[in-house]
Amino acid sequence: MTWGYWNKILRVDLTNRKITKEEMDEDTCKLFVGGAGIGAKILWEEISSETNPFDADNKLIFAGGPFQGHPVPGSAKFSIISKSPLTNTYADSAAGARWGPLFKRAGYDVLIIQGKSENPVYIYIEDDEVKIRDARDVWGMDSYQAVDEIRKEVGDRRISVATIGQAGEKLVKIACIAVDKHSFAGRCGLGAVMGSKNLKAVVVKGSKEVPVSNLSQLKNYSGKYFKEIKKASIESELRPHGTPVLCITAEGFGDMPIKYWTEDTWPEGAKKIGAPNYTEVLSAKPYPCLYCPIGCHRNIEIQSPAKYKLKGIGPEYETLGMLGTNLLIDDVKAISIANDLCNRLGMDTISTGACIGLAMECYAKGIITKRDTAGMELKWGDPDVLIELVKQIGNKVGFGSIFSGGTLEAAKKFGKNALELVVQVKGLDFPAHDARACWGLVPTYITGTRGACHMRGVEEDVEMGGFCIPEIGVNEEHAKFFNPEGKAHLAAKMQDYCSLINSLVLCVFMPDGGGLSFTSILNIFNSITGWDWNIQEAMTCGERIFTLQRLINLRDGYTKKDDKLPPKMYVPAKKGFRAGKIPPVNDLLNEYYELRGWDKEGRPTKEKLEKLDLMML
Amino acid sequence: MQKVMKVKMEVKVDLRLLNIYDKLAVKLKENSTVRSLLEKLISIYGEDLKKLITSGKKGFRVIVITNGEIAKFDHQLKDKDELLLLLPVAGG
Repeated sequence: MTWGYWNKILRVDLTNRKITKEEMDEDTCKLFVGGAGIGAKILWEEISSETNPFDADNKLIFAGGPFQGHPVPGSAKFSIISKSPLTNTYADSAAGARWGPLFKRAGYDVLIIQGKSENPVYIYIEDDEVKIRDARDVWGMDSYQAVDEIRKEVGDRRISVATIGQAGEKLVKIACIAVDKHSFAGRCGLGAVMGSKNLKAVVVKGSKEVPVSNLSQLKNYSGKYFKEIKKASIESELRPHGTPVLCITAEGFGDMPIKYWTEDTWPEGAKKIGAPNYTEVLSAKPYPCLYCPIGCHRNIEIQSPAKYKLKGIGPEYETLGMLGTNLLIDDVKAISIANDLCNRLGMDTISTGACIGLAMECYAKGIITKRDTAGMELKWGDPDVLIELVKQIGNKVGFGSIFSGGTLEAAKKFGKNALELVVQVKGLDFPAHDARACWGLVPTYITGTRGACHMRGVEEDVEMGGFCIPEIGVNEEHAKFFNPEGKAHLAAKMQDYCSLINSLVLCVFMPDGGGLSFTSILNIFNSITGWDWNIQEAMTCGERIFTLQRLINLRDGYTKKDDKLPPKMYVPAKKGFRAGKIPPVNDLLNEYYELRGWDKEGRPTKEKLEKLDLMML
Repeated sequence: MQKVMKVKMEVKVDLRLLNIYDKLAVKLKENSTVRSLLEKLISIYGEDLKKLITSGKKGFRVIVITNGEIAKFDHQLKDKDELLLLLPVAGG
């Protein structure tokens, strides 16, 4: 056995309702760790470039890592891995709440779901008992109703429920997977993959304790770091204000999207929707995942006006950016309602904001008219339009149904030059961070294995001065704007680091905002596994995982020509912090390929694959 | 007799982190640095600003942008400089 692992994969075939338990060998654990790493290995081995994301053959993988199963700070996370219907290649998306730890305690490391059920079902896992249950009663419910209904049916509130809403059922390609009405695996449309399998939910409950190498040491480290992270997150203001604390600074640096990436500054808007105003207006309080000392999620309460009355999860920075400044909307209560609708319908708030931004821009430019929108005027800054379009997209009705395939598919249907307006890489819409402001994001976005994603590098927090990892040379020297020197290096390091974090599986806010050092992360890891890894071994593992994901991208037909930024990223700002500044994209990319040991076409060389122990795959 | 500071320069400061959006004109002595500006701002705005821009261990934790560039705390200011104060953020 391997400390910190069960060495067990649970496989559920929904076509023939077959449930099997398979061994996972120690080499796999050592080479790919868990979460996104092991998910990538399974995807590499079990599907092909021919697999359509909505085919029964596509795999939907839920994976924890060595960090799950004990009260380790930030260990509520788990990864969901599949071939994305939005990007048509490798995707992983993470959520928190309680699902990861409870699944691990049920006695498994990985769940592989394959096939397609004839009727709607949900999977119920309680320790050794695994059942495929009828979900016809909950099919059609939103993601909050489904959790309530399944809890009632099971008769146990201690279960954790990962479910889809109506968007996933209707195969909307920006559908997310919602966990316990609390946390959301938002990106890449994995909720639609779940819907394509007629799978409404995966429900877990576990009572086992995974053996670890040194339990008393693990307990000591976990207790000590919990206190330190809590203290640091109060200082960084992440605990008191959550991610809305970013708004004022991000806007000030020209990092926040404004008017679907066509405007440069909007300090008044950022001030109205960001902290501290957010915290006051929405009576916002931290809502932590299990074992979390930070609590970045927000619980909010709106009493008035009546149409915006709400008690529940509040929008986070990304949502405030994409449903707020991105659309010139500064009413934080209206954004909260739209966010709540996205959560219930089960949609990625980032891509939803991108869809609506594209619609508003196309309408303003006359590419689409009232004839296309069934009479609706898509005015910038109109919260009623935002709320109506969220409903239409999620329910796949009316004009909004044109976005059921995401922004790129919609732009193709709009015609004219709409495609040039879409801000995406490999089909994944930009998150609320502008690569023209933080140049480390340039290589990160264009080589991102799931498309444009800030969470696969978090360079923006390094560049905005809030995050350092001295053990790998990521320090204050990298917090230099508009200086390309070192940015390709920064991107590669941070991608490897984040690939490791997403495989452990650890919430990245423990280090980024909570101040947990890389050395401390390895102290926890080594207490669990007994492997005594050093920083270099851990970073090599991160690089191996990232490279394998890149190999899947290449197998799926992506090439150097797809490693590019959208046209708007070549338009300099006229005012504000990044006025006149444009990153040297090609230079950064070429330097990045070279640093990575890839050839000029962006393919990892044979030597590189040998060095990373990837030749055997 | 009260000693009157001889004003040699004036800089404009964007204090949006205090919800102040009109640029504030601050008069400073010759050879003033970013640090002396921050100390002067704390003397004007008191504990609210001090709590925001300092950290026990590290001293100042604020990012100061001078004419579009991030400035170090010992950076010497010039007459008519425009400054923006932002807080470093993490958790993006």
